[in-house]
Amino acid sequence: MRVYPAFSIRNKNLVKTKFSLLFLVGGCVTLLLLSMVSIQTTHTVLESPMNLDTPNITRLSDTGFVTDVPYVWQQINGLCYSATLSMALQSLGIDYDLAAICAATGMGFSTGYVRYEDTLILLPGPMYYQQSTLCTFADLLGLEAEFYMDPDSSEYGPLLSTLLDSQNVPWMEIDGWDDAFQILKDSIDDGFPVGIYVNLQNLPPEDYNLIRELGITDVNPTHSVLVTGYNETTESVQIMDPAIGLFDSPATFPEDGSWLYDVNFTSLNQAWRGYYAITIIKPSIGETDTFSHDLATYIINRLRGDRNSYAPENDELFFWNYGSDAFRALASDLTYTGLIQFMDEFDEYDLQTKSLIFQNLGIEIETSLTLMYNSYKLAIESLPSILSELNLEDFISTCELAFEHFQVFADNDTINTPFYYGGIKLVTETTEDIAYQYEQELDGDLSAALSMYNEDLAEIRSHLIAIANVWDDAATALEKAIAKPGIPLLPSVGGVGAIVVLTAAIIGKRRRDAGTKIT
Amino acid sequence: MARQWLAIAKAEFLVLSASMRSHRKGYVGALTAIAFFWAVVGAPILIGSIINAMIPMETLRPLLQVIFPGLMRTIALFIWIVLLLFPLSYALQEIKIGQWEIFLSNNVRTRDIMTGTFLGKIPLFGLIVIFLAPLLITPLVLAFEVNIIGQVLIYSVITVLSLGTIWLSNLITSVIQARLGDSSRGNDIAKALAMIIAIIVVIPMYGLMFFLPTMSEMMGMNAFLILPSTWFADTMSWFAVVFNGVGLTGSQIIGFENILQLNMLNSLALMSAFTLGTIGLALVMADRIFTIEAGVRTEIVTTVGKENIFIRGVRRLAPGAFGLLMVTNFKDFMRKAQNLSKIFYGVILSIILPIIMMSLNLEDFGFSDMFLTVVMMLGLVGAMPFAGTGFLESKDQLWIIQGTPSGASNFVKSRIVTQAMIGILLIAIPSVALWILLDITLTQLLLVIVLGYMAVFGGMLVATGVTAGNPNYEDTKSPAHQTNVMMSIMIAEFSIIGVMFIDIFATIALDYDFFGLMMNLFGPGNGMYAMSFIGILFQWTIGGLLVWSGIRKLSSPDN
Repeated sequence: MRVYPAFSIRNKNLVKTKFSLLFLVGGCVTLLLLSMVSIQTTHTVLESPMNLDTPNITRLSDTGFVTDVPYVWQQINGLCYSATLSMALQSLGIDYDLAAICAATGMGFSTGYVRYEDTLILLPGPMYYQQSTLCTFADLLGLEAEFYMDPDSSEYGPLLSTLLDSQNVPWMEIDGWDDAFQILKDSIDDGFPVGIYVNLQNLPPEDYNLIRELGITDVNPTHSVLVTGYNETTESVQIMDPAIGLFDSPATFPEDGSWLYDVNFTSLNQAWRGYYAITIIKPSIGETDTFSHDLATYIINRLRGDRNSYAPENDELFFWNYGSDAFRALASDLTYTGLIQFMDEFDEYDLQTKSLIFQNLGIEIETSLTLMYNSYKLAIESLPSILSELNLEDFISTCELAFEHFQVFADNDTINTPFYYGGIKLVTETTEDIAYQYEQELDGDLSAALSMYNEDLAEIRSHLIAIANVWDDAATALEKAIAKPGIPLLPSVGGVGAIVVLTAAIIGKRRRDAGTKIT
Repeated sequence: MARQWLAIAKAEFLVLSASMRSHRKGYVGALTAIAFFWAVVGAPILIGSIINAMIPMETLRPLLQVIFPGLMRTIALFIWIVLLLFPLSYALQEIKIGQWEIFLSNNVRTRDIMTGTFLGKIPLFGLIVIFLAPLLITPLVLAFEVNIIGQVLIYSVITVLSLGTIWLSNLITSVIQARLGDSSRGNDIAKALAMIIAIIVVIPMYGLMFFLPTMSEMMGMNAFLILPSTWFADTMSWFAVVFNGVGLTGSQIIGFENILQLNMLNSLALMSAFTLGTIGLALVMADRIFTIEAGVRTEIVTTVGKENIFIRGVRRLAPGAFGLLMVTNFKDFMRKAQNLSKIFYGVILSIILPIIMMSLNLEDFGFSDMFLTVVMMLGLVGAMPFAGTGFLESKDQLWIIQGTPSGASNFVKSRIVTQAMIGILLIAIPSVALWILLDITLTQLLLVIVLGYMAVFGGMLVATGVTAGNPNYEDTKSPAHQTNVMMSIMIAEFSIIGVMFIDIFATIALDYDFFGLMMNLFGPGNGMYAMSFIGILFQWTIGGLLVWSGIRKLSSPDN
């Protein structure tokens, strides 16, 4: 849950809505957390361009370390998963930085939007079912990914296991600390660092004192870190944490090396026990011949919001929209009627609470759009080097058209700075103003408050629809980039049609002639 | 002549409602009133309370909403196929174009005939739709709390769907009848088509029963957008979504649009274009369908070719009169498309059922558990092609047979030997299909072949015996034909499954575990094989008795 103490000059109380559960203070906020899968890839053409390095392993009888793993700072709240994945890949010699991860996993080009009962939330790519994204990514790169978890470890275990099953993500069940630690040890002994999900309050860095001061004790894992070593004598593990320095104002790269630290077993167990989730990436058959085409097709589907790509098992869930349609759907709910319908769900609350819920809605939308914008920018930056064999000029220039519209909403402080509530960008400013009118001036008359800001809401919608249109256009541009030159469609269809008509005419004539002869 | 179509419509209606006789008007009026009351008031209350008693609507609503578009497509496809193919299959059973020729020779336009027969069918089929549609639609209407306008529109679409489909069915039937009706070969092909069409109906029916969720999912796929039934279904879905009372949000409506892939206007336009196109096409084509002159198709061309290796082999193995009879029987049977279509129908049925049962993924349910069912189906496969038609063509043929010494006995025996040879084909196809599709072991394959062939042979004995006892010649609409087919199939199947009833009876009444005894004798896990074997022996005994009595009846002079 995102916490906003001493909220604003107008509202002093906080509302804990279910939406804000997504946005925890700390590094990567992951609703569904990184999952790993054993990919049974169907690629058969082997290529070995990856130049996979043999990991550097230091091993004594009761210790093990994977050394020389490059550190990746996540730069912004919400990208811990990407940063952890980047570090893990680089340890294998696959040179994918944070931007490359955003591009090659399709995260920067993905988004989902759900509106059901009292839920209204836009999930930016880095937040959307990371586990199934990882399946596709590992498949594209010809990697093997493994995911382990204990579904009975806490109240969150069953939720994650259900989500994994619903996404058809294969995972292996483990039982508590002993199993989890053994897998961690074995993996490091084999030279593969381990991605784990942890809560923040049990990690030692001073950065997380804030969480401890707030008295948060929830074991729900909200952050992803990479474990690169263990020492059974000192009973500790070595962690590379991508989020260190993120809470500084302004966020600062931890040049002092404080991103590498040890955690004792007791603290690790407390931090980890949400579901003892483990991610291990291993090399496998490598990138295939069709990598560029497959990745481009995947990105096209993500941009267009192909339901089969986003939710192969649940594509009939009408309250979910994806890709460009996610922005359109959000726009269609940020109307007078849509917002009245949304607020009707909170009828049982008092006016002040409802006003905060409304204001919180704006903050959440701004947070999501900011994270989406950042990952989108990073992905666009990196994609040309990943798909170097394609001409992406048109695609990139089309994608960039969305920047100005994202910038109307995006504010990095909203996701990086604790206790910051926005209010200077279009969505938060509008919702804050409406909430103020609703609570303070119009005595709970939401209709009147919304009517006063009709133009602002229309402007919000116009920018969201503009982003949606850019995403569709970008998909078309990318489609052209991968299209192979061949016989143009129209002449070929016309030609085939002409042949069919001609054949039919000849047959008809012959039959008529035959008929004449009989009579 | 004015309003010829009206006279034809009245006649068609009178024929369809012949069973009501003189109370026709009263019955039809009452039925119509009841049907509308049922659709608008009765069904929503009844179904609503049944659903609420089982699962509260509040809990069920999200699920119904989610499966709604796919389910609607399944329902529409089902209605479409049933309305399109059942009348077609029925009409093809016995093609009679004599009345068309009478119409045409009296200067009645084909267009009027078609319009008349279509309008005449509307009351009966319309009533059936009004009775049945609410059963399927009501849960969805309740899930979306569709208002009265929406409900009226949905029922209107169903009506258009039904009428349009009946019209199309009428057109296709007319074309087929016109093309096939004027030659005996055409009649034979028509009967074959009737069977093939029946299987097309059977597959979605099985599907609806067993795979509703999967089918709903499949219906959501792009490929189904080209089916006209999908356009009707999507229009209904749109009406439910647009006229909902549950407060769907703008984004949820966008979600529906993404799932349905066509918006309301497009679906509506496609639906209307299809219906109007069908009507237009039928009216334009009407006067070209029938010509009174005898065309090329009525000419009989006899071709004589060399006999194939199989026939030559049979002649060599049985050189005498019996062999000749066998060869004649064989040629007579295999030449008729109708018989071949029955074989096809039976074979498909015997393959579909085990696959469906295996697909259910029941826990601890293996091939051996359903072996008895497979054997039972194969009994049906053996009985069906040989029951009713295809035995004797006419009384003339019977008199010739009766005129020879032991004629009936020799005829039936030669039939049985011929059919036993055809039976090899009947067992070969399903066993290979099951082997490939269900991945059964070689032992199981061997058991299917041996016991399955025995069941096919037994079924054939039953069918031959029953038909010999009451020959219906080539008349497929006679009561004798219906009786023969039903009796053959029932006896062939129930004689096999009868052992299960004996087991149940023995367990309940005598406290004796017959099945347990089989398990002890043949080993655990082999109970079903043993039961099948005993069932087949039972079937053979009955079949043998029926053949014996059939020969006796066939030989008697009064037949």
